[in-house]
Amino acid sequence: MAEPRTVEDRLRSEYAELLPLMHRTRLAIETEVQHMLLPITLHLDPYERIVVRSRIKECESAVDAVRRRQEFGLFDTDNPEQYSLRSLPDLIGVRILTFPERRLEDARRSLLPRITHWIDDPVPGEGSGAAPIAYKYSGLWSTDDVVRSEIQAVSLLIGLFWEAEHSAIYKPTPNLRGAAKSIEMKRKTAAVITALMDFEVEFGRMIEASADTSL
Amino acid sequence: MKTKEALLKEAGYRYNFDRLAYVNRLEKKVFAEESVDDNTEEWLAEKIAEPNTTGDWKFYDEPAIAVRRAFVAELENGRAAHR
Repeated sequence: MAEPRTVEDRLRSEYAELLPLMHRTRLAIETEVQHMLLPITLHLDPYERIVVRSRIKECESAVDAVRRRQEFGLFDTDNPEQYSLRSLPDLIGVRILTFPERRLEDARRSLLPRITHWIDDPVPGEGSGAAPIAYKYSGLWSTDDVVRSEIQAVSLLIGLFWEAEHSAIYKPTPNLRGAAKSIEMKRKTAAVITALMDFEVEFGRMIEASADTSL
Repeated sequence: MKTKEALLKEAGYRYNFDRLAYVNRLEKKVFAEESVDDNTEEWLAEKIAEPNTTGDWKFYDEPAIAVRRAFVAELENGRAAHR
């Protein structure tokens, strides 16, 4: 008698079924987001940036992401049918990176009309009343989509820090993701984010001051 | 009141980042990271002080049977708490 399929194998099989659809949706979102941002990107100052990046979560990352969402990061092997990649909010991800600070809000406002019914899940800032570090929205891009997509708008500096962190640490060794959730690491990460935000705010202030002087 | 980090450290708990949990092998007690996050320092101090007289592993919160079985197997093999 054949061995029953593991939870991981069931999810890999689901991934293969979903892949063509995910490619189409990723392309559609990235193209439309670029289009929505066009009124801003066409008028950026030379030092300003709005960069749009997109990706489909890789198969093993997706399987691992489902596992990590479970209690103690383990699948309940007695009930393998309860798991699906469709539970992930970010199988397709689009990230908008902006610089300086003021462009973040511009980019976010441009998107909002298209994602009014999406789940709003901002990354909170440090301390009560602090502005979010990043804006995150998840939902179905088209009514016939079966997987959820996530759109993030975040400062370029913080987004690049996240990318460096991801590609240097978590991509080669996904099990280290849990390390970032320890109380100590959360504190250290918050300190890096605060430093980057301070840098960006100060940079924006200097640019404005410089513009005032040159008038 | 001490921070959660200090409470766990002083009571001999070590963070296991594979399982997102704080583990004390001597007391045979496990706190899910989520439980630590979702509850107050007072709750944590109270649960840390709670004696485990079962002889078995005690989890805060108790997971599904298969999850418990897999995690306890790791703990008994001595892997989980030594990461």
